[in-house]
Amino acid sequence: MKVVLDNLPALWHGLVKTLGLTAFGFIIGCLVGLVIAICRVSPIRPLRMLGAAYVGLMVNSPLLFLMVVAFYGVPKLGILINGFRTAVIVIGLYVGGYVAEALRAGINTVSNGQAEAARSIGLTFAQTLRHVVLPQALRSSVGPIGVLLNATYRNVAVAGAIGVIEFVKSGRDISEQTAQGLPFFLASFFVFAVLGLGTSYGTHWLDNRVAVKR
Amino acid sequence: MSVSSWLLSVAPSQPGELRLVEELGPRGRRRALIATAVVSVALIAAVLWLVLRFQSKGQFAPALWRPFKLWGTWRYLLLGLVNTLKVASISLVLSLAIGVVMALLRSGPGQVARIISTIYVEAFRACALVLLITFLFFQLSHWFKGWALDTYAMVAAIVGLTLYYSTVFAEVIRSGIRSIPSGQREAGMSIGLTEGQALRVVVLPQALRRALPNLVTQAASLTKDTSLAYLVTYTELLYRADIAGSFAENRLQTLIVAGVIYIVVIALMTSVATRLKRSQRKSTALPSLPTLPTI
Repeated sequence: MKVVLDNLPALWHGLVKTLGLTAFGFIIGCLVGLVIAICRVSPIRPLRMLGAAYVGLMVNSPLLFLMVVAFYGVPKLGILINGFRTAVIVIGLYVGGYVAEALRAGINTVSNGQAEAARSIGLTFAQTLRHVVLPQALRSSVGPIGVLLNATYRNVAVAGAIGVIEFVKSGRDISEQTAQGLPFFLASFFVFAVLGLGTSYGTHWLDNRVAVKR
Repeated sequence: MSVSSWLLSVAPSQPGELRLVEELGPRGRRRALIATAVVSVALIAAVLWLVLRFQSKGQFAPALWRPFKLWGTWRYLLLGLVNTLKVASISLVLSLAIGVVMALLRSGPGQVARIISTIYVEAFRACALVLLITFLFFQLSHWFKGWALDTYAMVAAIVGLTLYYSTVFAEVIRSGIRSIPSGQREAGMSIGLTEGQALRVVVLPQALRRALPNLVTQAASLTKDTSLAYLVTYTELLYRADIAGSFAENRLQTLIVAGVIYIVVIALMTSVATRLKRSQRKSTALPSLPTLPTI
């Protein structure tokens, strides 16, 4: 354990990066997901097709692949962004596809009577969504989106591949320098367990608080 | 169906989808047509921008695409796909086997068995797959001497994927077991089976069938995650695409080709899962199982 304590500053640095990647990526993901989910239920067919194509692309390609393309491929098109920002954008876009799916599932759990009632008092599509459907859909999506947040902590470790020294990568680098694997594995494992338990506890709390009591 | 009625149809495409818009009247149709035109122009403009970007940066240059006229390039990449599928299928079989055992232990009568399988599942589910694979790669070379580098990487990927996905499969199968009405287990026990036997012989086959769409979804996710073997330099599809692209100095092009291969393979698995789910919804009265998010 001493070797972990000796390298605490570097690990702390990595953890901060992991948390930053998760926070920024997740916020972008939620915004993108909301927009894509609205596209997927909109009355405009090209928007529905765009939404379906976007989700299909994100759900069916590996995150690491997207990361590698964004870091090594996209600069060839003259778009230069640093590693951390690339990672944030890629994670945001990737998570966005999953958030869109979670929100769409949430929208479909709203009962048909709600939408019918909204239409029958003359609300437009946008008004129905804004005032009737989305408030209920968002509440029932809290649980699934919390699971996505939980997965995101672990998924951002992929950013290590493009030279972002996040938590797992920092532990891996130090264990290669010190030729000690197990202490860093256990330490990282512990941190992930705490983060995971914390998020699922928080999600449950929020889920209960905002749940639609029927 | 005419083009305009196809464009303007607003009915939900699948059962179970919420209907948000009434059939459009004359004013609504006019508005929707204008919006469709605007959106289409914007999408076409975006695609055009991308194409022009490729063009202006010389990324369509024939020299960059020439390697794909050679069988050797394809062979190199397809062997990567073979490695990807090899790791995926071995991990899939192993993790399914462990997953079934863990689900049975956790749903069965044994108190100790339940505690053990709960700890196993919760521990490895909390762990990042990247952490597992990179740690195993590092540690295997200390524990076992004299393997080839590629073997270390392959074993690390397989063991890591198996440990993680066995917990995922255990959870999926357990939710299948819980969805089977308890009368099934009781009926099994009333004809003289022990609780464990009833679970294995009567409940498990039905549970596996119910969980099948979710299992296929997770298998697709497992196939996606084989790309993490790239991190420990195992020569699967992504790694080979990276190497081939650096070698021929057409990384962007090679990665695009590899991406198309990935998306085709994984979308095929995802569409099988969707189809299974749909046919199951038609054939059974029980509500369909909630999908565990895969990410």
